[in-house]
Amino acid sequence: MPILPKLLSNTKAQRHADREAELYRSLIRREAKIGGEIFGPVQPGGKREFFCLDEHTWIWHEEWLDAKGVRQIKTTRYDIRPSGILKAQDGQAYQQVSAEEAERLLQAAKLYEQRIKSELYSAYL
Amino acid sequence: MSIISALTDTARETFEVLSVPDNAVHERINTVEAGVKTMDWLVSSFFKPTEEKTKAKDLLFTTEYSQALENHLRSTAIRPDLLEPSILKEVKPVPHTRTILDGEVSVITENQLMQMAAPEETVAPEFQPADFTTNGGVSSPADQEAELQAMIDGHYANDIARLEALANNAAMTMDQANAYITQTAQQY
Repeated sequence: MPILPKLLSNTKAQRHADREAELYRSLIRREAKIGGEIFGPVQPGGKREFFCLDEHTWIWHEEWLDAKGVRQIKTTRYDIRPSGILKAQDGQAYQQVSAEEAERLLQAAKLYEQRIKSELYSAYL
Repeated sequence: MSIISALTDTARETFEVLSVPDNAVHERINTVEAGVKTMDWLVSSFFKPTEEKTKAKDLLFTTEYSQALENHLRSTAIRPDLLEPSILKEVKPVPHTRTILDGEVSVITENQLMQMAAPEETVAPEFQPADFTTNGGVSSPADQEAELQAMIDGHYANDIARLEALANNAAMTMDQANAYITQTAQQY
């Protein structure tokens, strides 16, 4: 294939890929917003997001203002592994999630699934 | 927020989601369903391992996935900061927005934080009790925002083939897509 058509073809394919990736990210952001609501109200100035990144990874993101009015942020990543659930948080070492916390995480995930299906994707189901 | 504006927001978001190609939506639905199913199996197996669950495990976790994950963890010496090296190249700091009503700083007590960490109905406060009571190792807000975004970006950077397949089946025109992306970007 001549160079110019090949370049144009590659560019078009990349644009398609970029567009789809952006659309997909937009869906995740909307899910994250809904996911953040299942844990109750967020204090003024705070922000919470909870979402499924992929079938083996869940993310919890929390922002709040501390006693001095300084914004604090924590991002928690749950990795679902065959031998259990690992929690990675703010660059610290992995922690094995207890059965009790895993049970609650599961309940949260189920609520998340229910809510995004009813509030975001109902037209597609 | 007034009821009317809330309804307007809901209608707009519904319209925007409806304008997304079916494939992208079903991809997300399938991913979430698989995520819940996988976790469901894992949590139940904590307490009642059975032969059926052992078989199910083979379906939920392919050998390739398990092996790749083990290799990855071994190669990074189980350091979370190195979990996804590729994302470090794609970090795009997001301007931090701060919302303080009437100029007053809201002070959140430890108890309030613990309550916030619990889903209203079924998830108890202990879901993440210790996580919000210490601040050790907290990165700067910009770094944390970038890390969260990079988790999403990085996740898809290595999956171009799937995205191309989605693109080939996309129902939207490029102009529609650009308009949608612009709308979404403005919202976030």
